[in-house]
Amino acid sequence: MPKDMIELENITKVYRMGKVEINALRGVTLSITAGEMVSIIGASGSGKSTMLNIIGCLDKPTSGKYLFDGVDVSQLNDNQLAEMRNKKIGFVFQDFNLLPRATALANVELPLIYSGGVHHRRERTAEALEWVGLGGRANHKPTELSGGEQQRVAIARALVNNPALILADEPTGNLDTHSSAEIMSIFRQLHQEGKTIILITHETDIAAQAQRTIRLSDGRITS
Amino acid sequence: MKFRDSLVSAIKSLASNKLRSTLTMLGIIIGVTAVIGLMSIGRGAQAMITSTFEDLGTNVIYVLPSIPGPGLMGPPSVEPTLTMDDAKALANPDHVRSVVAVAPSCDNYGEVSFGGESVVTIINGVTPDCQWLLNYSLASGQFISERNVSRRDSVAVLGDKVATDLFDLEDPIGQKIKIKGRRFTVIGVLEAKGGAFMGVSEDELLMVPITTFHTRLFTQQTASGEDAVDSIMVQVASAKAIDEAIYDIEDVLRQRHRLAADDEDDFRAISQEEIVGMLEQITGVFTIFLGAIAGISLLVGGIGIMNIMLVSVTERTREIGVRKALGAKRRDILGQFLLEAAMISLVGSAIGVIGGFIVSHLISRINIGGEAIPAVVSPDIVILAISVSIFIGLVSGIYPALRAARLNPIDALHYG
Ligand SMILES: Nc1ncnc2c1ncn2[C@@H]1O[C@H](COP(=O)(O)OP(=O)(O)OP(=O)(O)O)[C@@H](O)[C@H]1O
Ligand SMILES: [Mg+2]
Repeated sequence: MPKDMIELENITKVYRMGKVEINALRGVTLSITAGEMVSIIGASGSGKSTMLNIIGCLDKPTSGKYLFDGVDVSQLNDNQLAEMRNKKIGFVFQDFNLLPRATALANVELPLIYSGGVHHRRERTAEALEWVGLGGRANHKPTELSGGEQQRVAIARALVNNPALILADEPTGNLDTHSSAEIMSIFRQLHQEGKTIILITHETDIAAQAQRTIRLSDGRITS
Repeated sequence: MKFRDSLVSAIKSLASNKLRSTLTMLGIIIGVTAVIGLMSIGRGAQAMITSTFEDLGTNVIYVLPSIPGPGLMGPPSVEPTLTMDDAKALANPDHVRSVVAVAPSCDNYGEVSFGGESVVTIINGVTPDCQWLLNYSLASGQFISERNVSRRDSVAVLGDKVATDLFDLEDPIGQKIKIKGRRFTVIGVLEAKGGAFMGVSEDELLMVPITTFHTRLFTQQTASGEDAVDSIMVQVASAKAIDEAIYDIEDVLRQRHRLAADDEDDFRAISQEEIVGMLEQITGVFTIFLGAIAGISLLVGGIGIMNIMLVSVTERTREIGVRKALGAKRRDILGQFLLEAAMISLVGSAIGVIGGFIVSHLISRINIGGEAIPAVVSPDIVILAISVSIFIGLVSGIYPALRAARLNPIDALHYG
């Protein structure tokens, strides 16, 4: 039986804005097995991004327990969390978040720069770009690339350090249907190659491409 | 993150905003240029003063009249207290141990003329020993002799500039000039020294026997009616003998001036080393003062760096968020911003050093009163300026860098 990669137990997240408290997550319990492809859907403001950021160690829950590969994430210090993000997790954002002044190659190389003692950095970077079909655009800056191409650079960046988990927050949200289809086929291929993938989407046909769909409503999982 | 990666990243980031980086650097460039330029002037002035005194004879003690009162470099006495007889007494080896030569001298300003030409210059009343004590060499003719002094001859020895001013290319030897309307015969011309001391050229003077100075040119007397001298130079055999000699001089003069045990000295005896030491101290303070003023501009440059780095951290908040999401640790972000600040100040001070060299070179070519200040950039000034500027660069980089490093990844990603 495949083991659980991610275990969330009664996770809550409260944002305090002055006197107002916003309960972004109200007790989320969830397990995701290694190698699964999961989609998350829900209304705007239902807590999807909040949950994904906690899973991705970008944010900390207010309460609850989070185990990643059996390790209690709340016990990790800042440097260990940075290492997790660097080696085990790859992020893909809705608005790409590429460094505007850096070339595609330099953007993809970033995770390797922050990962000590990596050999063949240039080769691995070029390989990742090749894999998303942008070998010929290595020296282009983000502004010189289409939205779909930018997102493919971002995916190459997420992959370059060979993480087990890929997190994508509305990766097709800013793309036309054609580019969306291309990006989704990349995710499906990654899933076939054994990566664990969690992606947030608003579109049911995209959600349907995952093995499992998690529905969030007002900070709770409804199905 | 490896240092080489950080360096490449810092260079790229600075290069991507060249105008801003250059303007930020300008503060440091100006600061370092100012520190090096001004301190080299100070050092140059110091070197100039020291070398001027070293030109004079060695192991010389200056005896000057002085009213009792405070102040090492205070205004000179209004009352002359030293006499020719004092000088004679000091020349006696029974009185002053190891005395080699004694030269009393008087000086004043007066008009000197020959034919249609006339100049106002310093007129020195001297004795033959003056030549050895002050290292004067003659271009032509001879110096004032013992005979000239005892017979109160109306003879004069001209400084190089006075000679050319009055005679142009003519040979002055044997010519009759007028000093304050009285006729004198020129017997010698000094070799050009070329130097200037405190703006007065050492070639702009004229010497007559001290006795003639008193009887024919300027009467100046002590309270008791004797001919007064303005200074007495006493040369002793060796540097070791100086302290002893000063003690003897004080003893002799106190006795001769009939000072009671609790009266203060009415003269001062200072060794040349003491004067040089005093002047070096003054110019040293002056140098530090100049450096400190220039240091303020370096400080302003540092504030400029801090300002720009803070703006840059704010502007690049999202970039910081992205880097953190991809695994950058606090120390990576801290290092990146510190390195940028360090690079600005390092490159800025490198250019500033070149600027300092240029400024100091230009200054050493400006002629002030016959001689330029030999402004020299010494390695210690350069090291001081660079280390202060890098220190300031790092200190001003630390706060912005810490702000960047402490950013929460998710807040940084969502910024703006
Ligand atoms: N940094 C924050 N400070 C305060 N409130 C926040 C913050 N981030 C999110 N929230 C709030 O928490 C709730 C959940 O936000 P979240 O971003 O997780 O929603 P979402 O499901 O991703 O929505 P969308 O589909 O619009 O992206 C929202 O009400 C939001 O306003
Ligand atoms: Mg969202």
